[in-house]
Order: sequence, then structure tokens, then C-alpha cells
Amino acid sequence: MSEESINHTGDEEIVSDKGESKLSDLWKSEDYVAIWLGLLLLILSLIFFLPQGDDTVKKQIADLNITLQTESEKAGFKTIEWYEALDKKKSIKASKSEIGKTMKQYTSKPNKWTNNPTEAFYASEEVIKSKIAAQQNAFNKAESEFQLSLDKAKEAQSIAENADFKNTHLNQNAIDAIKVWRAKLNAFNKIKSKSEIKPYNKIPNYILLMTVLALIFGIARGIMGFSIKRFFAGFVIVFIVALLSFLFEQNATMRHYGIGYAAWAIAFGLIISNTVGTPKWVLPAVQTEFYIKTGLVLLGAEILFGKILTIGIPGIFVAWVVTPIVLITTFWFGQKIVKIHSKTLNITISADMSVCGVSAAIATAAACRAKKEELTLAVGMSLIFTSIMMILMPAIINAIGIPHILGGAWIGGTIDATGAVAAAGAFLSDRALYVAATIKMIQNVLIGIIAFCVALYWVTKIDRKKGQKISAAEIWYRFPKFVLGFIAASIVFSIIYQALGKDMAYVVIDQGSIRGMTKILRGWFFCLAFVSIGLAADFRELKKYFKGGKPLILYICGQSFNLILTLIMAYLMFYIIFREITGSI
Amino acid sequence: MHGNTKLKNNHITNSLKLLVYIGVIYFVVFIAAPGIDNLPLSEQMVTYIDKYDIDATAMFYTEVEEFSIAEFELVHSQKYFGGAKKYMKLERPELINPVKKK
Repeated sequence: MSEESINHTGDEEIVSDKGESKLSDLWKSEDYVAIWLGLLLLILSLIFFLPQGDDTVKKQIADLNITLQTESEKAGFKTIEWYEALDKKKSIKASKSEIGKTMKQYTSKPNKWTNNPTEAFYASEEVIKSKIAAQQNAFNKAESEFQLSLDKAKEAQSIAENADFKNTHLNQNAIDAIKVWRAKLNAFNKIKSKSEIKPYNKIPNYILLMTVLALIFGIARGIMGFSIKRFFAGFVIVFIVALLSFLFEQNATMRHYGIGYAAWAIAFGLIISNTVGTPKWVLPAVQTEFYIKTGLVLLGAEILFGKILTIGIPGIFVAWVVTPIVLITTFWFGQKIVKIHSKTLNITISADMSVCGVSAAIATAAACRAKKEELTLAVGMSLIFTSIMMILMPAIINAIGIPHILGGAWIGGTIDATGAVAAAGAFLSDRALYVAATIKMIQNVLIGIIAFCVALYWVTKIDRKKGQKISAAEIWYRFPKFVLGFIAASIVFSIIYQALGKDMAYVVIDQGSIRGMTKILRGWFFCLAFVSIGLAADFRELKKYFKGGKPLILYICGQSFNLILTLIMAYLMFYIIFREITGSI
Repeated sequence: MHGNTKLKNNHITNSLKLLVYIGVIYFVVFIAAPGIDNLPLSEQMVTYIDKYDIDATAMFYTEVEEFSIAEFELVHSQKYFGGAKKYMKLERPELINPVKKK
């Protein structure tokens, strides 16, 4: 098929590869090239960030661990010194190294803006000065409140210490004062970071980033036998629309409702393709599958299996037992009761709703070769329900009086989008946020396994003709290979993470390779993919999939079941069976 | 000649459609969404998100700073205070035998 053909029909419409196996597949097949490209970037990230965990860092961590241990034994509660040591340890990040800062400078999203979009790309010294001046009063207020709360906390702790931490009443006073200090410190840090901005002009950075990304994907396409020159020409437009999508994501109001780049990229792409039309010369760079597959290999590195034990067995039950039950039940319900015509649409919505929204939808859609319109529909519904649930759930939890740890687990297990979980959890309390975020993180890790199982199920069951027996070789031919790259990246990074130990892994993997490089690039790759989906999709096709409102019925029924089951499981785990774990949170 | 006119008309219609969509986006971003911000149900959450600068658009846990903080605090709480009766007694009294208390 010619590169220039519009991807509305045939195999190009689905996320797939062909079931043939030749040696040249290793450099000709999109799946393999995506794996090599992803792995190359992952290796580079390790080369850049692993050396940052040197002996100085090790010594710093060891010293802080001694303080944490000593302080934890001293009072029986978290003292000021314990928290200060924790904060210092938390701030040791490989992404703060020179290479990390450079990477951030050239790849970060546009800045946040409210009324003037140019603020996202450019701010002169005068503008920055006036912004800082406008915040001065708030800064001074936050600083004095923080200082006052620290003095009070020190005083309360000192009084408790004078009684050898044996007086319950005095201890409680100290705990309460320390909690106030932490809240004030958090607020002060947020406003302080806003006051530390410097003049910026991001346009040259984006030109460089566009060139680098065009080279990466252009050369890869060239190796696969396509024209590099034509790719470059089209990529300029795809990149500009991607940048525009990030720009709208960064609008202050859009951030309130979790309307991220995925929604904007699809919307802008759809608007262009369904009005003035996607120019033919842009089509060589409209490579949805290639961007998604490469992005998914990078995402594999973020799926660290060691994380599933963060909150112990309760977390595993809420995130890893409830989620597959909801996923399978919703899929079954969609097939047998709602009678969704397309199985790929059904599984994409089921995974999107039960696991973690857009990221799960991408991984599942790619694994089962869903159509672009199906992914678009799933992402759209997820965004709408996320915005609603993000506001309603904390209100309901507070109105009913559900304990915040239970509420956090409920939020983490049910709200689709990860960012919305943070907002809803934090709105309740710190503890609710910790639980909500951890449950969601464990659930995020599940998408590797789900993508693998869905791909295998599709190859062996759904795509098989009735009565046909499929050999192991046939399974291998048909299996979407990029899923193997995705899983391999996850396994290798999980092993490195465990081998380094939690403290060092936090510095060089979590806050180095991943947050300093791969997740940023992955974000760009996914955005390019969503732009491509929009540029190649047809409004009329979308209507066809939404016929009878069946996807909506499926989503609502599945989510209702998810809400009930998660709440029951979270209550059992955190308040009946594992109370001692709840106690340590 | 007739074909050219039809093509021109199509071009005008498509350009008008594009303008309408741009107008819709403008309405959503600059008029409708800020209006929803001020509704009583959403106002509290919006103020909170702004104050703590939470990125509600994030797609994966690695994109949210709060997730990293949450994990860090949980891991350290469990490592240094996990199962410590004294800590539970002080900071989480409601969890010490709640059934017996009733």
C-alpha cells in the first residue's frame, strides 16, 4: 500500500502487523523497528542517568537513613527532624543533574497559561518581574505562616520531649502541630516554585525537538524502506498540531477537568481532516501505529513490578484482583447483554474503564488491533466520566463520612485517569492521596499484563476461525511483536530497579531515566499518535460505532460494578483484614 | 468550469466549517469551562487544584509529582513505623481494636 493512501479502509485502519515471518522483518516490520527504537532510547536513558547515583549520593542517603531510623525510635511519631530528613532524601534526583536539566529544557511541555496562550512559549524579563511582584504578598503570607507553624511545631515537640514522649496529651499536641507545619510547608513550596520562574523562550527548543524527533522517526522509516524526505515534510505539520495539543492541555481551566493532550490532539486532527482535509503530503508522517508502538515500549520501562508491593496485600487485592474481575465481567456483559458489535471496541472500553483510562486504552487497542475510531471513542468517554467522577467522588465521600483511607482506595481503584486520581485524593487529605495514588500506581502496572493477555487471547481465540487449530508457530506469527518489547522493557527495568535497591532506584530510575527522559518522550510519541488518529479519522465512522448508545451503556454499567466491588474490597482489606497496614499509613 | 465552481464552493464550505469549529473551541476554553469553574460543586475542587498546582490531565503515575511523593511517604512510613504499636496508638488510635471500643 502506498504511503500516501488515506488510512480509512483496510488493514491500515487497524493497529496491526502482518502474520508473516522473515528475517528482514527485523528491520522492515514496524513492530520490530518500534522495539529497536524504544530500546535504544531506554538504553540511552540508562547511560545518561545511572552514573548519577555515585558514592556521594550513596553516602548522603545512608546518612539520612540513620537520621530517619534514630528519629523513628525516639518519639514513636514522625518528628520534625524525621520529616526534614525525608524531604532531603526525596529531593535527591538524577533528573536534577546537568543532563537531566538539559533534557527537560528541550523536551518539556509548554508552560501553564490562563488567558494569553503566548505565555506558554515566551515570557520577557518584565513579564516575569510583574508576575513575581503580583505574587509577592501571597508569597510573604505563605512564608510567614510556614515559619510560624514551624516554630509552634518545634515548641510542641520540645515540650513533649521534655516529658520523654511519655505524655499522650503532649505527644498529640506535637503531632497536631507537626501536621499543620507540613500543610503550610506544602503550600509555601508550591508558591515558592511559582516565584522562582525565569524569563523563557521555548520556540527554539521546540524547533530543535521537532528536528530530533523527525530524524529519529524519519531514519527509522527510511530503514523500513519509505521516503525520509516525504516523512520530514509531513512531520512538521503533525508536530505543530501536537504542540498545539499540549498548549491547550496547559490551559489553566482545561487542567481543572483533566482534559489532556490526547483529547486535544484527536480533536484538532479530526477538525483538520473533516473540514479542509489532511493534505496528501502530510500523510507520510501520519503514522499512528508506529508512534504508539514506540511509545508503548518506552511505557514498558515505567511498569515496575516492584511497585505492586508498595502498600502490601490490600493494594494487590484492590488493584490486581478487582480490576481483572471488572475487566472480564464488563467484556462479557458487553458481548452477551449489551451486544456490542465490535469485540475490539468492547475490550478497549472495558480496559479503559477498569484499569487506568487513556494509557490502558492505548495499550489494549494496540494489542487487539482496534480501529482508530474505537480508540477515539474509548478515550473520549473516559475523559468525560473522569471529569465528572473527579468532582463527585470526593463530595460523596465527605457527605457520607467515609474514612479517608477507604475513600482514597475507592478513588484510586475507580477513577480512570491518573491525574484526576491525584486531584480527587489530595482534595480529601494527604492520607487519602497516598492510598489513592498508590492503588492507581499498582493498577497502572497491571496494563503490561493486560496488554499481553489481550494480545494472546485475540491471536488464539478471537482471530481464529471456528474449529481451526493454531500451532505455536502460528501464534508467534500473528502475535503483535511490539507487545514483547513492551513486556521486555518492563521486566528489564523492574530487575534493574530491584537490583539497585529502593533508595538508589528512586534516584536514578524513578527520578532519572523515567521522569528525566523516557516518560517525556513517551508523552510526545503518544501525542503524535493521537494527532495522527485525528488526521486519518472520519467523523461519520465515529457515529457508526456509537450507534444506539451501546458504548455508553457498557461504560456506565461497568463503572457501576467497579464502584461497588472496589468499595467492598477496599473496606475488607483496609478495615477488617489488614488494619495494621492501614495503621502505618 | 462547472467542476471548478463546485470545487470552489466545497472549499468555502470546508473553510467555514473550520471557522465554526475554531469558534466552538474558543467558546469551550474561554467561556464555558471558566463558567463551570464558578459552579458551587466544582469551585472548591478548582480552587484546590490551582492552589496545589495538581496536574489532573496526567495519563500515567510517572507524570504526577503527587504520586511520587505519596509512594515515598508510604514506603518510609511503613519502613520506619510499620506495625509499631506505639505509632498506631499515637497517630491512629481509631484503628486500635475499633470493634472492642464499640
